Amino acid sequence: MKIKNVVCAMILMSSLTTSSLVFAKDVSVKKMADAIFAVIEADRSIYTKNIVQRLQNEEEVITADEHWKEESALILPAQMLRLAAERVNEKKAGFNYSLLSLWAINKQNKPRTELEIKALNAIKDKKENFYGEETLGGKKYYTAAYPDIAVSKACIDCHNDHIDSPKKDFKLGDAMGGLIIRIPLD
Amino acid sequence: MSRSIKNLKIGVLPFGIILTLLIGLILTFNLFVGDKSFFLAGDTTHGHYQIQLQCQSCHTEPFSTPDQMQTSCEECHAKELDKVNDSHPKKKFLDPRNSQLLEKLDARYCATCHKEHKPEITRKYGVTLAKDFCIHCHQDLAEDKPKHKDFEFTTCANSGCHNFHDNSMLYEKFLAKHVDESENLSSQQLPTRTGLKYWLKKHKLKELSKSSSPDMSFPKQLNSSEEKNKFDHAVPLWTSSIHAKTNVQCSNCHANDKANPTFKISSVETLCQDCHKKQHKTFQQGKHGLRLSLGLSPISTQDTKSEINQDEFKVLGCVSCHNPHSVNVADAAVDGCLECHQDQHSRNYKQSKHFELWLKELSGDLKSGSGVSCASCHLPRTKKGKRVEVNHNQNWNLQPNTKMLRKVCMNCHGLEYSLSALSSDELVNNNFVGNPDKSHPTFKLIRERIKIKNQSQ
Repeated sequence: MKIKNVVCAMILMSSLTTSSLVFAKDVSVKKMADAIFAVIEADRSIYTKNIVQRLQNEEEVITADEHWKEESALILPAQMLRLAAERVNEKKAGFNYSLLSLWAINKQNKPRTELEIKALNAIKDKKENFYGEETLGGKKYYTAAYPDIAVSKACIDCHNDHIDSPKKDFKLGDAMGGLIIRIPLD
Repeated sequence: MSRSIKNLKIGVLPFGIILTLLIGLILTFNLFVGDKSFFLAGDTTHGHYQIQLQCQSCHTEPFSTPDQMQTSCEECHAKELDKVNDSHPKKKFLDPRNSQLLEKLDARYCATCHKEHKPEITRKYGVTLAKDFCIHCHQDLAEDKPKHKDFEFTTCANSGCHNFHDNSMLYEKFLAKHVDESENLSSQQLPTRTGLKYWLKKHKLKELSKSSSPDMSFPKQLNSSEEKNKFDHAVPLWTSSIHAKTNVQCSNCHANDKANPTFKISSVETLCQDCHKKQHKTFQQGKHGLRLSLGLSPISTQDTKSEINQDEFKVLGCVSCHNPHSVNVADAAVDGCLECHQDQHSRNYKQSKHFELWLKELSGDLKSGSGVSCASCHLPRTKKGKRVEVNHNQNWNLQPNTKMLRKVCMNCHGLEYSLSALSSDELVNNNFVGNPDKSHPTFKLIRERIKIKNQSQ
C-alpha cells in the first residue's frame, strides 16, 4: 500500500516537472517579447487615438506638448511610452524597451547600437518584426524590434510639421520607427 | 658604538608601541565619543558642510556601497528633481542601450559629477567634473544643431543656456513665447498671499476682528523685574500684530506647562509649526533649517561658511527673522536677512531700485506687492491652484538662478531682460544696479529658430 502511494507520488511529481518544463519552453523569450509588445502597442495606440488625437486634433480642448508639466498639456505619445519604460527600468522588471527612429526628433532616440541600426533599417520597409542578440555593457540580450506604425493623424502631423524632424512626408500606416524590447539572457 | 644603538632601539620600541596605542585611543575616542572630525576626508560643499560630521546621513553605514550612498542622495534630493522634470534622471540611464555612454560618465550616480570632500576641484553647484563634461555624450551635437558648432563645450551650462537637471524655464517654446517682452511689464506686482483669506474662510469670518486685549491672567505673576520689562516691551508689539487680530493669545505660545506657566519657551520652532506647518516644512528644506530637519542643533552665526555678521552670536530659527511679538513680515523681509547676510549682493541691496520700490510700498505710495524686498526673490510666493504661499526654502530657486525667472523676475520684467540680468555676475553682485547687456546667445538662437519656423509655414 505504502509503495503504491510512493509510486503514485513519484508519477505525479514527474508529470508536474514535465508540464512545468513544457510551460517554460512554451514561453520562449520571443513569445515573451511579443507579448510585452502587444501590451505596449495597445496602450500606445489607444492613448494616441483616444486621448491625443481626440482631445488635441478633433475636439481641440487641450494640446499635447513636450513640456507638458510646464504648459499644463497632455504628454506626447512618445514621452508617454518613454516615461513608462523608465518606470519599468526602475522596477527592474527583467526587460527594457525604448522607442527609436531613423528620423527621431530627439536625437538621443536615433539608433545607437549596431543591432539597433540593423533592426530599424530592416523593419522600415518590410514592416516585419526583427529578432537578434547583442552584448551591451558585458551582458547578453535578446533584442526584438517591432515597427511603430503611424496610427493616427496626430502622429504624422506632428512629425511632418516639427522643425527638427528629418522626415516630413510621413503617411498614415508608415513605419515611423521601431519599438525595441530587450530581455537579458544571462 | 653599536651597543649604544642597540640600547636606543630597545628604548624606542616601547615608546613606539605606546605612541601607536595612544593614537589608536585618540582616534577611537574621536570616532565613537567625539565629533568624528578626524575622519573627515576633506571639507564638504556649501550644501553639506552643516551636516558633514553626521557621516551616516550620506554614508548610511561604514564602507557603504555606491548604491547605498545614492539612496541617501535621493532621499533628500529626488523629489525636487522630479518636480522640475529633471532632464537627466537616473531612470533614463538604466536602459542597457546607454551602457556605452555610462562607461564615459555614469549618470546613474550623483557622485559621478558631485564628488564630496573635494574642495580643491569643486565648482559652482557642487560639480566636480571639468566644465566641458557634456561632450562625453553630446559630441555629435553640431551635426544636429549646426548653429551650435561655434560654441565650446565649456559654455553649455552658462547661465541662461542649459542646465543638466532643471530646464523647466529654458525650453524653446517658453523662450519663444516671451521673446519680445518689454523690460518692465505693464503690471509689476507679486501675487497676493492668500494665507489670511483661507484662515478667515476656515474660521467662518468675513474680516479680521479688532485687536484683542492680552490675556492678563497669564502668567499669574511676573517673577522678576527682567520679566516685567520684557512683558512691557512685548505687549504693545503684540497688540498691533496680526496675532492680536487673530486672537493668538500670550498663553497660546507661552503656556507649555499649564500647571506652572512661565514665560520660558523650550522650543520656538515646535510652537510655530503647530499653526504654520507649510512654512516650517519649507524652512527645513533650505539651508536655514537643514540641521533642524535632521534633529540637530540649529546652525549658528559661528558655524556658517556664508558671509555673515559674526559680531553677535545667533542661532537660526523662526524668531531670527520674525519678531515673535510683532510678527511683522515686512520687517522680516529685509531686516531679518540683512542683520546677518553681509555678502556683496546683500550689502548692495539698499542702493538698488528694488529697495527704492520697497520703501515706496512701506510708505503706502505703492500697492502691496510692488516693492522688492529680499524675500520677494528669495522666499518666493508660489501658486498652487488658488493658494499663494511663501516658500520658506530660500535655496529653492538659487541654483541655478534661472529658476527665479518664472516665479520671481517675470512678475515684473520681460524674459529677455530678466535672463540677461541673471546671467551677469556683475549685476548679481551689485544687486541689479544698472541695465543688462542684451546680447545673450539664447535669444539670438531663438530669434533664428522663430524665423525658420515662420518661413516653413
